[in-house]
Amino acid sequence: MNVDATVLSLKGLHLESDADLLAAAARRDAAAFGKLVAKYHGLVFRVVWRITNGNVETEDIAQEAFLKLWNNPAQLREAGALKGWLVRVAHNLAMDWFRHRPVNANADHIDVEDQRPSAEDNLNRDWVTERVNAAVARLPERQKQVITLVHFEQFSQPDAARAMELSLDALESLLARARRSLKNELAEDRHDLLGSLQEKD
Amino acid sequence: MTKDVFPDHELDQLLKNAKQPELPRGFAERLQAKLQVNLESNVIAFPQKQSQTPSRRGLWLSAIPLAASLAAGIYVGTMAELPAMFSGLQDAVASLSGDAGLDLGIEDTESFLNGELS
Repeated sequence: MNVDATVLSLKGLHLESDADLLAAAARRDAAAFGKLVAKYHGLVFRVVWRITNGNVETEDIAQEAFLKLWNNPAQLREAGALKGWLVRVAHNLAMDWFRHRPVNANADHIDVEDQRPSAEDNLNRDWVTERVNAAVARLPERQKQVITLVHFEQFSQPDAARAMELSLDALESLLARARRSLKNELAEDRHDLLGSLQEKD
Repeated sequence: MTKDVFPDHELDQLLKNAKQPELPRGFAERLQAKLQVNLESNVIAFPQKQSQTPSRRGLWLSAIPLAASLAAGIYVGTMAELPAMFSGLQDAVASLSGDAGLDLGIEDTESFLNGELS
């Protein structure tokens, strides 16, 4: 089958449901699959990025999640569950990488930058971003995932619970622990961080 | 000294203001290229394996043509062979009954029992 670049355009989204696009992808319609990719590739990339802490392998892992779907769309029984399914697959692939990453990749190394900028420009949003990302990167894996889904990706708690295959109660409990951990991580710089945001505004 | 409380809304404010990681430039194009390679390697998705056990209804339905075929075979076979078989039998019986010289030995049974024959 020849896939024309124009057919697999990742632009030009239309208001088609995931179910329609997935059904078309199952019939090897590359254009429909391209639309699904365009819709979810940001989410999948960011979910993987949080696990790999921004490692260069992030892109390959994110792409692998889509290849899994393309190679066997039938494994997803409900189109409505596509978003959660992609998050789960991406997360599992990222965790596989994390567990089997090269020995020379220090387990404690965090690729996310955590260096305080110079005094002149440290009170800005980039610094907040770096500190928050570094704090999230130090969380245990499940806490990291729940923060990613609920806070960064705006999943509702029931959706996040489904994506993580947890009960709602378990998710709420995990989220509370994750937030406590984040507060501990950020406590030292909290006033400066908040001050930098107010200054920006 | 009391511990400085870190209110929820402050954490929310920090999380909200942290910028999301950006997709590397060309991500979509590289994924497209991977899909292309994947297609050219002719990887075909087979439908998921279905249960190997046919339903009871399916069993009965599949048995109908077999049974009909068997019955037709028996019928046709019977129609072709039986008349010939019977006609042959009839000839044999007729020839037997018409042959006066045929000695089956039945007539001698009584004499044998009475000791007249050995």
